[in-house]
Amino acid sequence: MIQLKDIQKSFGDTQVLKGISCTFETGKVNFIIGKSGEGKSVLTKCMVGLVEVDKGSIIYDDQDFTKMDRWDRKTVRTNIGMLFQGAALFDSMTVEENIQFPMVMFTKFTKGERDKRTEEILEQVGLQGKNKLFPSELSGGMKKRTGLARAIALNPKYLFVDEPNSGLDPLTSIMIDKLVRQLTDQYKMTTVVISHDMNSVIEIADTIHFISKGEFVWNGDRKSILKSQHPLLNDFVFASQFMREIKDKFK
Amino acid sequence: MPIFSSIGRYSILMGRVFSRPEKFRVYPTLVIREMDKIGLQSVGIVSLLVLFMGAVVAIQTASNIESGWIPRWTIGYTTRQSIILEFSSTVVCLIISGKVGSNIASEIGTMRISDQIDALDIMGINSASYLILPKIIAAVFIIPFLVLLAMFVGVAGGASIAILSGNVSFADFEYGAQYDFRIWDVAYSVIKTFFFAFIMTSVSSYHGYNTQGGALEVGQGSTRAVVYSIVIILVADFLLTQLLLL
Repeated sequence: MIQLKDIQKSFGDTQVLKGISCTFETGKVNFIIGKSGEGKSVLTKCMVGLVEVDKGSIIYDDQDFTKMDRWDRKTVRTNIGMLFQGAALFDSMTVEENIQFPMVMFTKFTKGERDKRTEEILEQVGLQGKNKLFPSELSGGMKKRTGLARAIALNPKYLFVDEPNSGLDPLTSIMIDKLVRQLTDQYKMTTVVISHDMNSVIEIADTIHFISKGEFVWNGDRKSILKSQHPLLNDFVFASQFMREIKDKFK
Repeated sequence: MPIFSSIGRYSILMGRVFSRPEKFRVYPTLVIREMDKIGLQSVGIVSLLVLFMGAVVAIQTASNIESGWIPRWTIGYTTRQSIILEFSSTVVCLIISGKVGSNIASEIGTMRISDQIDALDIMGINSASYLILPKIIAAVFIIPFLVLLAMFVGVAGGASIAILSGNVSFADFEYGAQYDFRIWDVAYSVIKTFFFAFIMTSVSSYHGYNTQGGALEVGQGSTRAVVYSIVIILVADFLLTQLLLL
């Protein structure tokens, strides 16, 4: 479980996060949705420690991340997996080396153990036989799956997924969504997904937090989001003709 | 003042680079890989350039000796001194800065803009140490060997051209090349190289590590890395020469 308590962050005179509080529950796929520039990415960077908060606490299962020094944070970080928007695979490494990288750095696995774990993960993400390919030889969907494979290599307790479907076709997007759902259930992770994509939200979200101007202005689940009367949320969710038609049918 | 801000950020980055690494046993492999990229892959270009530098120094010296009072072996002496004292260390390091510095800055800059550095940090790895320390160690270790090679090739190049063009006999060139030879000159040159190697790798890494934006900024960062490395190397050359030779 991840708890945020009154998270505040400013850059110069601009306050980007204005006291965000919420709980992301274990075993659930928690979505943070909102327009671009509303603070989603900054909040995520604060949660994983890439940006320091000005005020507030980020608590990973009773451990206050904001009060830890670098070495204590390292322990928490080995339990965090993250899939970046562009996958952020290491260009100079093959698929296999990318996946094994966290194992090399943080475990005492032998080469045989690493290879066995790699094969397991590659099977889970549907990339068997792609071990020796370099990121430049992979399609967008394969890069995301490799990124997910690297993120779960150490059986993390927390998974962050940033825009999992950006740049992907609808079928591949659904496949990645299902993979995130499946891995969350399988590893009992606390998964936090940052997305604009309403298809993903409807497909796999357990809880949804809508951020606007640095504040969570609405929280709910995928059923309640379609019934919500919140004007800002409605503008965001039903921005497309397709979603408006769904809403009409839902009514 | 932006310059003080840059110096401060550079110092903080170096503090992170030299802090305790997460897993020391992965570093030897990284250092060897960097030695290959920085050192061995520069052998060809360094040899070629310094060969011609030696030849040009020899020809220029020969063409400037008009007085009969100046012996022909001066060509060997001047070529040796020029190559050992300045060309093999400073000029070679400036050349390597152009090649290696832009390579380092663009490599790290690309990793920055494609979130690969963030990925390392989120995993709990000290990205500054993991990415930069192996490059600094490799450069400080391998570039002095390149400089020693450059000394040999440069003097050999000068000798070949001077002798083949008939400006000096082999015996005269050999005499000049050995005349008043001081091993301290070689040591001075190698000592300078340690500093230059550190400057070119750390300054280039700093510019790559602090890249923000996209492909355009990676290119700009790469150019800045080379320009700053060259300027700082020349300033350091002046200071070290004052300190070591006077």
